[in-house]
Amino acid sequence: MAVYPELRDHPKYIEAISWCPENEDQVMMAIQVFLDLCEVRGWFDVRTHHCREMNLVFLSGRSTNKSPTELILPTDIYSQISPADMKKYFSAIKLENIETNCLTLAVYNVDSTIVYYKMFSGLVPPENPKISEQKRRDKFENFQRSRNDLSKYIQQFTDERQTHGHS
Amino acid sequence: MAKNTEEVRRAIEKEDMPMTSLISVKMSLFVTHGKVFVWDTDDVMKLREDYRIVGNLVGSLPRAPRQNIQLGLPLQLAPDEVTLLLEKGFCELLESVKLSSQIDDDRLKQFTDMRQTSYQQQIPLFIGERRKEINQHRHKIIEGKKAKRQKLKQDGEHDENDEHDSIEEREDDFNIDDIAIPSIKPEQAIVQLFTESPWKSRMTSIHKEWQYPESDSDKLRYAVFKDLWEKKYYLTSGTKFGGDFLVYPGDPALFHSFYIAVCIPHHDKLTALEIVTLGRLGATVRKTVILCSICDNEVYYTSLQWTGIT
Repeated sequence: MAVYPELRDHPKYIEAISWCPENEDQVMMAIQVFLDLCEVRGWFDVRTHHCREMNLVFLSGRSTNKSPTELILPTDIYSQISPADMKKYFSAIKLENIETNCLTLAVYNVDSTIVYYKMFSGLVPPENPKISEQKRRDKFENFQRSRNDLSKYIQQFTDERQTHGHS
Repeated sequence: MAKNTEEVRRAIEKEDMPMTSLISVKMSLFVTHGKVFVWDTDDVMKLREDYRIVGNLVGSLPRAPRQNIQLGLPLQLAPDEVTLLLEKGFCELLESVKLSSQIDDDRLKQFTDMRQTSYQQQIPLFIGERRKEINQHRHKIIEGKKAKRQKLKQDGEHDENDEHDSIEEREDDFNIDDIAIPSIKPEQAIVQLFTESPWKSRMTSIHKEWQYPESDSDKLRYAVFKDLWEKKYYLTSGTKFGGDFLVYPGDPALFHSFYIAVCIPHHDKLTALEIVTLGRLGATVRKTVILCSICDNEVYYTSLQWTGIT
């Protein structure tokens, strides 16, 4: 487990390590997943939680403003998980007011690459191709929109600089 | 040809003890060297449509024996499928008593006689076909003859052969219907392939001897197979996608599969990396990977999906 000394001063780390002081590796991983979700993926309402039963830190958050809350379990690539463990996770990792049969596994590598895989308890059919297609289209439109907005903002910025320069 | 087989069968049935108890209303599954086959088209369709059992066609098509893209009867069944069909009481497992033992002279004679009659009947049929074919191409044949004659004529001029006139005259009288057609050789004759044993009466039921599943991993596989089958899914082998089963919401000819089922003992550990491997496999082929294990005598499923976040 890579240790980043500066992270030890992070308020989230200080809070989480107080929950489970003997599980430092997992806490460190959780904080890095926390930062990844907040700073890289741009998730909303990312929070850390303590699971007493399993003595570990897990996260919750929403991938977009409109998405439902997801539960995230930080783990590293070498951790060993059996179907029995998964069943235990599904029953132990819970939040009040959140009904879900889904747990997102955040797999952390020492080079701080993190990949996210969803585990569901029970049978979950794959997404309908029509919905996938719609999602792809929406994503493309969003991208186009933000690109169009970009030129607008650049214009705004240069305009402001010019007026500022003149005054 | 069909008549031929019928005759043989009737002869055989007369000689053998009448079959009453063994061939019942239940569908017959035939065991050969420990493998289970279905030889009847109607049975294959019934298995698929009524019992959601797909199996695997393994036979070569009689009319196109030199390709293996399309296969035909027999249908080979996987052990899980056989056990399920027996357990549900849909089918009966039969094995030929005499197939493995030395064939007796009577049988051999019947067989060679049938082959011989079949061959004899094919000769006039073949000649008729060939005659038709020649007639269809009669213009080409006559043209070819003319061209040949022309060539002979030219060559003859060079050689100053005086006899070519007479050759020409003779070939003018050429009659297409006079072309001799040799009869086919025995090794070229079409051979009847039986799609069911004509010696059906020498079958015995070996239901009790069918032992699958025995090992723990087979028991897990079968429990998963049965549970998903009872959930109204169609299942085929999952080897193509690195799993134990492919799970279809309807007939595999009409639907893509939903799930790749991977059977794993409930307390066997997977590394996170293996979970990523399985999840990503499912994502690339638009299927959900399901981990299937047994917990408290019930099949427990965990679905894995890639989030799309890279």
